[in-house]
Amino acid sequence: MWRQTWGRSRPVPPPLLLRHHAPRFRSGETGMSSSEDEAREAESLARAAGLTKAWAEHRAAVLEAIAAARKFRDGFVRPADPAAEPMPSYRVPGTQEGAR
Amino acid sequence: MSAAAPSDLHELTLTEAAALVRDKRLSPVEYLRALRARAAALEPKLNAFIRPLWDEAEAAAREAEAEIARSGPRSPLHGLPVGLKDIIDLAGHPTTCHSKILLDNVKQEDAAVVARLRAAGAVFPGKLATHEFAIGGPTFELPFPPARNPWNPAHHPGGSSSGSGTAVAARMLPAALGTDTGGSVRNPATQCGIVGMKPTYGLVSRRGVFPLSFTLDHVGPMTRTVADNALLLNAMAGYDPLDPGSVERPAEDYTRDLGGGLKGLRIGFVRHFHETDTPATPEVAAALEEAARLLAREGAVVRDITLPKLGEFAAVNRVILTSEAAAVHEPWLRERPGDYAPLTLRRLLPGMFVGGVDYVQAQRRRRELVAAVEAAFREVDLLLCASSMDPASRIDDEAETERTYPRQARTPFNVTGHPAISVMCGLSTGGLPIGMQFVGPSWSEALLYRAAAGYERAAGWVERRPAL
Repeated sequence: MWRQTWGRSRPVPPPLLLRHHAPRFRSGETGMSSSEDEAREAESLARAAGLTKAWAEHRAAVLEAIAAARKFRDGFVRPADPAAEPMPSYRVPGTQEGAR
Repeated sequence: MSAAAPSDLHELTLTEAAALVRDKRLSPVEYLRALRARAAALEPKLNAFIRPLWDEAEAAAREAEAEIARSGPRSPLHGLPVGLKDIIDLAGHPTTCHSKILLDNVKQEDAAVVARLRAAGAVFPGKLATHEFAIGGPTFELPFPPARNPWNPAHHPGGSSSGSGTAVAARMLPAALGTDTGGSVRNPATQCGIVGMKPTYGLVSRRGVFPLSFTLDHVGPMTRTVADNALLLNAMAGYDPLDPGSVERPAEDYTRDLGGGLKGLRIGFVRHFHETDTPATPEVAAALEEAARLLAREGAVVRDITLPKLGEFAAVNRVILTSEAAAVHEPWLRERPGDYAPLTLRRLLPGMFVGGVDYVQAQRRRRELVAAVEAAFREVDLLLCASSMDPASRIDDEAETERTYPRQARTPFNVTGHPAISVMCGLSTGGLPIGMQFVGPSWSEALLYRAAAGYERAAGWVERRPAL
């Protein structure tokens, strides 16, 4: 079942951070415009990342960074094998063969 | 007594200078003074040095000269100068990372690689310009100006080891160290027409080098010739138990196969990188094709080979690099965002928004990308591919620099950790260098030097120099 659903052709799910931090309302329900929604969402993300100062003083850079991070994650396919290990592997201290 | 006239000493390669010092026909002090005079003449327009240390280096060269007179050289580097990118620690001096944030960051110990060079007798005439924290540049909004390209100072020299590329290409120094996380040794090597090696991950210690991305960072030698590069790597390489990524291996002489030639080498040409993945400008594509033809004429067996697409390597690199860099910079990004140059801030901030799942997915995909490149090495001895897809843009053309900077084929081998060397393979119509890469299996640096030296001899680009 895993292999049927977690394949290379599977579209990348929406950004994890957005799933966690997206506002729980829609524009039509609040009367706010979508750009206001986006600004609130971006501010939430910035605050969650501890970037309150950057949000206040360098807002354009923060907005650009949020957009860039969303784009990055779509650039590569996810491994098909759910057991595929990340690189570098964890090695217990004392197993000296380097990080790879 | 010197073999070369004092006014020409700056033209000596590291190998030539080493031989003359060994034979007591060149004074290390005299050599250093010639380079200092060269730098004094060129620095006002090139900005390679952040912190010149000529007096300190001359004192060390004088001691070296006395020791050589007494008992001969400790190594081929004894008394010879090596420049240091200013993210590499030199005891008693700040490692500023070209940033306002670390202007007073005085270090008490040498980086491990500097300690190795010092033990070999090298001297250190200066800390060299970089992009801010090896990621933010070129930009004019930093405490020091950006280095410029010796072939045309209106253009950037590549980065982030920009001062290293500039100083070596301009013959202010015969050798320098750079670091390479997404191509930052090989980019200035390409754009400045010199030789830059990113060794296998784990061959050269990173201890005492300010991190950009722990699993992608490499320290590499930058020189004018392939032989010089191998000579410098001989002194740099070695196991460091205090660098968690360092690998213990037998010492090698990387110069041993320099004369081996190209005959019989099986070379896989990764044409799709520059033909379809990120199409190169026509003159870069033509230079690569001509290089492949020359390699074949010299007896190599050149065939096309296919790797995963360039864009995927780049995406994996970006996710890992920005995440790890954000971990390094998190306190400053939160408390001192205004102390970075705007460009640096823009490049570092995305890592604060990359999720943990995406980071791990990138590291999982990384293992598959490594396997794909390893599979290629079961069919060929080496890979040949593009380095930059464009000649260096004008340094004041922010939009063009932003457009062309990511158009490159170096990040795949930061992702995989395989060794890769950039050598010059042409000149653009605008008179700027074009470079290409040879890439080999892990720990195949000697083979890469053999191929690069064979190409260097056959192609003759090494004889070309910037008109300064």
